[in-house]
Formats: sequence, C-alpha cells, structure tokens
Amino acid sequence: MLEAKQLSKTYHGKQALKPTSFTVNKGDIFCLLGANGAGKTTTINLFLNFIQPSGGQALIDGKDVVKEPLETKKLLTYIPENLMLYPNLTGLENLEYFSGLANKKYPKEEFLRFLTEAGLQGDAHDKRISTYSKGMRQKVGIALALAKDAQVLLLDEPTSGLDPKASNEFSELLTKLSKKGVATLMATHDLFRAKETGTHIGMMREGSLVEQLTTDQINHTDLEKLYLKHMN
Amino acid sequence: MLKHTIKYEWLNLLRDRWVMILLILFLGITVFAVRNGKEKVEDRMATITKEKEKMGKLDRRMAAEIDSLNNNLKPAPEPWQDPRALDNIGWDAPRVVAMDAQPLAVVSTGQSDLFTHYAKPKIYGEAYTLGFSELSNPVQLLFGSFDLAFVCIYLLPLLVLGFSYNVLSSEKESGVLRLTLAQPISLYQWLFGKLLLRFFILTVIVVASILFSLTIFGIEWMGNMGAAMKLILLVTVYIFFWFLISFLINLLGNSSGSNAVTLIAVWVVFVLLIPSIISQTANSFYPVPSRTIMIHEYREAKALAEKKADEILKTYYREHPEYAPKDTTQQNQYSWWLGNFAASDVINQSVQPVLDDYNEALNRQQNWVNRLRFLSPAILLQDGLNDLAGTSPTHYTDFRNQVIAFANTWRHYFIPRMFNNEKMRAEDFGCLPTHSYSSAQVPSHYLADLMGLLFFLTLAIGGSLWVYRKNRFENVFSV
Repeated sequence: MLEAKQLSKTYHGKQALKPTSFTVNKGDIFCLLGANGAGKTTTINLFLNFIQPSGGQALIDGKDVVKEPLETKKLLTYIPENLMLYPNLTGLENLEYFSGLANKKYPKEEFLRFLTEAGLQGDAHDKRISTYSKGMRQKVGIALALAKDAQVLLLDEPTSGLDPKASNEFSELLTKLSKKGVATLMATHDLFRAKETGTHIGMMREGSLVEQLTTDQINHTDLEKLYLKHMN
Repeated sequence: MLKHTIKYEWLNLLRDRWVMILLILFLGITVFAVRNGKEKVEDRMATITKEKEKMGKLDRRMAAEIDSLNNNLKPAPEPWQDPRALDNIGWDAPRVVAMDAQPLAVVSTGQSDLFTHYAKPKIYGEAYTLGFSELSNPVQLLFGSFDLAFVCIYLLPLLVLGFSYNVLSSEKESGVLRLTLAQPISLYQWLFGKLLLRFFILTVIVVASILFSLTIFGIEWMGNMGAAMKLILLVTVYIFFWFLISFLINLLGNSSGSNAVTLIAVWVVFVLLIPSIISQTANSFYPVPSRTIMIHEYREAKALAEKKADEILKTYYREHPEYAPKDTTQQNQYSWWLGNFAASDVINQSVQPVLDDYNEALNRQQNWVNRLRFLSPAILLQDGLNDLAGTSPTHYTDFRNQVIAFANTWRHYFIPRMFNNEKMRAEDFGCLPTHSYSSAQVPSHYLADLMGLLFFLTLAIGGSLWVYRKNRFENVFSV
C-alpha cells in the first residue's frame, strides 16, 4: 500500500534522508523509531508531497505522490504530533469541513457516528475546538480517517504528550483501523507502544533506515537494547 | 470545493467578530467622509445661489430705476450711476457664470478647493482669464480633504490588507494548514476561495456604507443610477485589485509579519510613492513659467496700448467700418470705452504668445500627469472619481473656457449697441445673454481609468499564477 523506493531528500547539501526503501502492506502498522532529526518526519512529509524528493519515489497504492498528489491524498489521512483544527468551529464542523475538502459528504448523523467511533464523547461534538484537549483533537483526526475511508494513515508522533490512558485509547483505535486493512506509517519515540501496537518496526539514524523487523520477532527488553545499540 | 471552502470560511469569520468590526468601522468613516463632501458642495452651491440672487435683485432695481428716470419721476443721476448707460450695465451688472455641482460632487473634492465655481466677466478686462490659470499640482491635491475619494483610495486598501494579509500564513503558523494540505485540494483554489469570500464581504460592506451615507445626506443617487453604478464598479475593481495583491503575497508562503511588511510596502509604493514621483517629475520636466512674469508682460502691453488708444481706434474703425459713427455731429457717449475696446484687441494680440506659452506649459504638465496615471491604481481611482464628481482638472479647464466664451458673448452684446450710442431699456434685462453650465462636452476619463484598473487586475492575477507555479511551497512547511 505504501512504498518507499530509494527515497531520499537533501536540504542545502545535507542529506536528511539517504536512499531508503521499505513497504507497508494493508493492515500493517509500521513504526519508525529514531532520535530527533533521524529523518522520520522527512519521510512522512515526502509521502504527503509537502516536500519534493531529491531522489527515488514515494508510492501510495502504486501511485507516485509527486505525479498524482490529489489521487494519493484521497487515500490518506495525516495526523501530526499536534493536530490543529479551526478553534472557532465545533468538532463536528471541523470534521465536515475537512471531509468536504476530500469530497466526502454524509448526513450529519453519519459524521456524529464517526466521532463516536473515534472515541470522542457525545457532549463534545458540538463544542468548539478551542475547548478541546490534545487527545480530543487527535480523535477528530481519527474520525476524519473514518470519514475519508482512508487506506493509509500517516502519523507523526501522534501520542507524544498524551496521558497514558489517552495514549492507550489511541493505540486501540489504530489496531481497530489496522484490522480494517488500513496501512499505517507512524513515527514515534514510544518503544512500548511501538511493540504493543506496531506490526513492523524500522529504526532510523542520521537519515538511514538501519534496522527493519517485525514486532513478533522481539520482546520489549530486546527492542530497547537494540534501539540503544543503534543510537549510540 | 470552492463553495465548500467559502461556506466554512464564512462560519469561521462570523464567529471572529471581524466582520462586525469592519462594518462599523467603515460605515463610520464613510458617513463622516460624505458629510465633509456634502458640506463643501453645499458651500459651493450656496455661494452660487447668493450671487445669482444678488444679480436678480440688481436687475430688478435697475429696471425700476430706468422706468422712473424715463418717466421723469427721478432726477437724472451722475453719468457713472445712470442705469440707462450700457457701459454701466456691462460693467456693474455682469451675469454670473457658474459651475453647478454634479450630482455626485460629494464623492471627490478633486480640484474644487482650488478653483472658483463662478465668475462675473465684465465688458472689459482680461483679469478673469488670469485668475483661472493657477495650477498647483493636481497630484498633490490627492493629499487634500477627508472625502469619500480619500477613504476609498487610502484607507480601503489598508482595510483589505488588514483583512487578508495572514489568510495563509496564520493557518501555517497555527498548524491547521498541514491538515488542510493533506487533503486532495489545490492550494491555489482553496486560498482563492477564502480571499474571494473576504472580497465579497468587504465589497458588500463598502457598497452598503457608501449608498447608506449618500442616502442619509440626501444625495440623489437613485436618480443618477448610471453614475452611482460607475462609482461602485470603480471602487469594487480597486478593492479586488488589493485582494489580489494580498493573494499574491500570501502565496509566497512567508510569515504573517513579513506579509504585513511587504503589503504595506506595496501600499506605500502605489498610493504614496508613485503619485509623488509623478508630481515631482511633472514640475521638473515641465516647469510652469512664472505667473508673475506673465502678468507683468501683460500689463506692459496694456499700458503701451492705452497710450496709443486714439491711433488704435482709428485703425479699428478702418477694420470695422460697420462700427464707424453714422452721425458724426453727435458725440458718442461711450467714446472712452470704444477706445478701450479697440485697444483690448491689440493688447490681446500682443500678449497672446505669453498666454499661449503659459497655457502650453500647463497643458504639457497636465498631459504628463494624465499619461503617467496608468502607473498607479490609486491615481486611476482618483482620476475616475474626480471624473464622476465633475471636479477633475479637465472640468475646470472646460469651465474656464466657458467663462471666456461667455465673456465674449457679453462684450459682443454691448459693443455694437455702444458703437450705435444706444441706451439700456428696462425690457432689455430679459434679453441679456445668460449662461447655463453643462459638462456634457468634457471628455470623460472614466473608461480609460477603468481599463487601467482592469489591466492592474490582470497583472496581479498573472503574478499570482507565476508565483504559484514557481514556488513549490517548500517554505510553507519549513516550520
């Protein structure tokens, strides 16, 4: 579903991402681990076509994101570290607005159902986003994924700054989506969640993908050891 | 997509209170500006009415006096007070040549605070032609009064810029833009939709404020729908131009602060810098000859001619045998005037080159300003509004020509009668030549000004497309 083919990015002569290849299949949750500046966000930005690759290709459902940006964006939902919405609009209105941008229109009840499914409590649906916590905003992002019927989730440290309960809820939602066949690419610092939720793990260092493994190959302790080995 | 963007943008704006603040702000400013304009126009019309009333009163008094003198009800006055003498009528009871205000004169003061709106040309003397020749640079007059034109030219762009400078950058800075651009949309269309809505909101506010202000001050705009529509069209195009400039600067993807600075710089260039450069160059390239020297030369020629009045009169009779006295035994009571009439022709001929030079220089300067007005939308709007208000330099030049033409008519009513040694009769007051003002023959700049503004619109759209294609928006995400 998601494929990086010798994908690379150079900023002002510095290689932020060295030629990298990996694949995320349907139902996979691919967790990118690595220190800040390792190239995780760059990789996600490349899939979003926010920046142009210096080499290689980023493919979503076999389509090049540079050549068919509108087609590939129809398939994906993106949740950044701090999902920002329009503070003067309610959760429901934000959801309607962003779904509409993706040309998805439903009756109001349907949108409410998406919000509920994403775990947002009913009394918050008609409150303005300015009253929302970060966790609640992330849930609107998940509801958007549901409304867009996204095939691909691009997540950039979505659980950083969430309390453990909210973080757990979020992981459960990811698992639920993954069972529906959504391919997820998630950059994270949370080794525990990566092992619990992820199906695959990639470790990045200085712009290179130095390790790729599946989560059932390794336990928590070994994962941490392996991570520290690569980082030092 | 466009409709969707606009719908939610509207919802967003409504909850922002921006629209209400804008409405109240602009309405207040407009009402104040129209009130100022109205005051000026009322002053102008009041002066004209007063002069006309004075003239009518004098006419009636003189007619009554002629009647009583003819019926020997009164002793004959001194010759210089006798209303039966044509020279006294031609000199003391001149007609009022007035430039009536156009229906939309309140819109723009233009040159109305510089020139007089009425003249009373007499049978002799060219002073009135000189009195009109004052030219301070029309562009400097842009800095004049707080009228509707000032509000539209100077303040409106600032409102537009305040309302739009951070449409893209604020979303970038708050982070919403990342989610927006993760959707399958074109940034260009999406941003255009947002600005288009703001343009409509502001235009509705502006048009409503203008029409409301005109209505409460009793200006007949409904009866002059054509002119009112022209006014609205011109202002709308100007607003749209500034929105497009803001669109273009937003597309560069810089921060809100840098957008604000850039837009203010564009405002300064178009609204302040270019007009003042044009004004400066007009003075340097086409200096207007000294008016003092011109008046001096004029007086010298006049003094010379007056010395030779007898000789000139003889020549004049040779050239105008129809005026030669038929009955040489009777002394013409106007003989002093006849010499002067003859002399004035000679004076006019000899000072004509001086006057021509002066007028030519003024014309050249005016043409320079007229041509260069296409360099700035602000000047184009000013010019178009002056055109609608009837206060443009062209209108005043035309009025001056009307005064000169009427002065001629006035003199030529008297000259043959004076050469014939006729007297004024009471019933003649009804037949004296009169002037009625019309601006129909003034060539209109409106269409050219509108085309100029549309050209700037095209330029701004072209510029925004170019910026969009060239800029790959990497800096939109370089947070």
